[in-house]
Amino acid sequence: MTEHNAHENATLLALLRLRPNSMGWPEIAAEVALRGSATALWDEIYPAALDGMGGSEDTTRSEAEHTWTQWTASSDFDVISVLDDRYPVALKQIHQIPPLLFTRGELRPIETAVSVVGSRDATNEGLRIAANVARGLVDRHITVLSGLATGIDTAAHRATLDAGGRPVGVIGTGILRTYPAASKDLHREVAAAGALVSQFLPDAPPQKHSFPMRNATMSGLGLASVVVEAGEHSGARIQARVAVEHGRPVVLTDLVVQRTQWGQALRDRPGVFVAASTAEVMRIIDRIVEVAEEPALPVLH
Amino acid sequence: MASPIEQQTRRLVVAAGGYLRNIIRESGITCATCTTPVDGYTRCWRCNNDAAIPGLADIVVPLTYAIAHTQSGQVMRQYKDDASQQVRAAHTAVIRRLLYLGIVKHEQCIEQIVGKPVGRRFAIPSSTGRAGVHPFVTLARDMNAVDEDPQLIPRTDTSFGEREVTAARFTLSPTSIRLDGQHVMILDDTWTTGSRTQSAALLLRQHGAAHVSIMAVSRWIEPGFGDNKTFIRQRLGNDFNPDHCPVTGSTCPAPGR
Repeated sequence: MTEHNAHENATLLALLRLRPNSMGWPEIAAEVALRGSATALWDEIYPAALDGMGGSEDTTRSEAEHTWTQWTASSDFDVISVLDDRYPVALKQIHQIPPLLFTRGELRPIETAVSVVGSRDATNEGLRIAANVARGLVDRHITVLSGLATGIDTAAHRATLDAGGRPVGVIGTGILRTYPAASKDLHREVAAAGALVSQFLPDAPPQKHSFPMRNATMSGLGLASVVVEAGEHSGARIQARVAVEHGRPVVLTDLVVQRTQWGQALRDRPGVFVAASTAEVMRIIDRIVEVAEEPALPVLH
Repeated sequence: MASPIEQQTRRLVVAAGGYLRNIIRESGITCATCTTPVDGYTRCWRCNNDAAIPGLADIVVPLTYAIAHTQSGQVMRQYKDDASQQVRAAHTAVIRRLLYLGIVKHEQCIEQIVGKPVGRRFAIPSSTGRAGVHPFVTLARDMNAVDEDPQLIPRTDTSFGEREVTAARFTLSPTSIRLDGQHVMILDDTWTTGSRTQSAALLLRQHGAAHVSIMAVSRWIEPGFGDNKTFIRQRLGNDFNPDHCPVTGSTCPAPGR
């Protein structure tokens, strides 16, 4: 990493800490992505003082330089900012762009990935479907995104690992935390075979508001989301909703549609498909991949 | 085999129907000109102020609302300026489908109201900060919506207020072009105040255009302004339907397609 990039990234971190004009993190990320530069945004917000003396924000920037150096020196994780060429292109397209991603393993800027998500309290049938869908994705060389929770998430990750596929775990805590603690080994295996991704500061504990943000990120990383089995208040419900709002297709199994009101309501929304079998889920996914690969842009005659 | 229009409709709905929103046309609810929310008035403050200027467009037709800090706002901003080429391309595809469907499904609705078929279309380039051809002009050319010439060129040899509506903002190339008696349609990406687009309308009138209509891909909305939050929550809940007429706010004026 060049010194220029380190300075840019430290400036981005300083902006995230200062949150000028009450800007949110995704808003800062979007403005920085528009300019291809954090210092350009910084200079607009904090014009250089005539006497050359900086204000308290310059202190924040030096502190940010220090933190950034520590992060990049860590052997425990990598940090990728929205300014980095390694940042996933699909994720840069949604409005909740996480400005920073902390990763273990290999995150790829361009890849075909699909989320497989669902409830923690899954039935055997749900677990079986999750594993079958994950295996179907691995057969197609599609990366399997999930959230490392118990239940459906674990079944999807486990099946992906067993089939020799590429799992990516998108977590709702800092990269240095493991939640739930019992899934420590799974975290390690997912990072080794694919990647572990967190959008939160490295030490961030599990917090209620973090998980919906995590679901938005997971939706953004993928081409589509498959909701295998979910309850009325499952986090998968949030992922399905935000995916529709991102314009990313959602596949609901008929389990979800039959057993939840939100599944009933969502089935009529744009880009939502209902599948009665694993084979049908895979047929829908095949079609989604096909459409994504052939832009077929319109021309007037 | 689905027709190209059916195919593009399906693709747009799947890829963007969940966040794009049809515009609302209701007196006292949205501006009769630009469709931004109003608080009981016929027109918004800006359109009402400009209304006395002779030569404005006959009709302004935004196809959707672009809401700041949401996916629609993100698409309308990043498509032209994101540092990543792939991000620009992905958002451009959505805008291109939207504009294509706006033209094939609703240009005739505009013609119906104006009373004359569209003779020529122009695309609005952005004023500043960009070298070369503007992304929106490129998009409009790539889809055959506009010709390479004649075209609108932003002028750098004149001065005017930031929000001033004046023909001096643009020039036509070639300058000798005549549009006598024609209905010309201006295509624009995002309508914020409309001063640039209306300025182009004045210029096209100077070249003889009898009718000027404007089709804008989006009407920009700031959720933090006035009661916009309530408007967005109460009125913009429905997913985007490309067949919903942006001219009437409901069904297309007869004869429909």
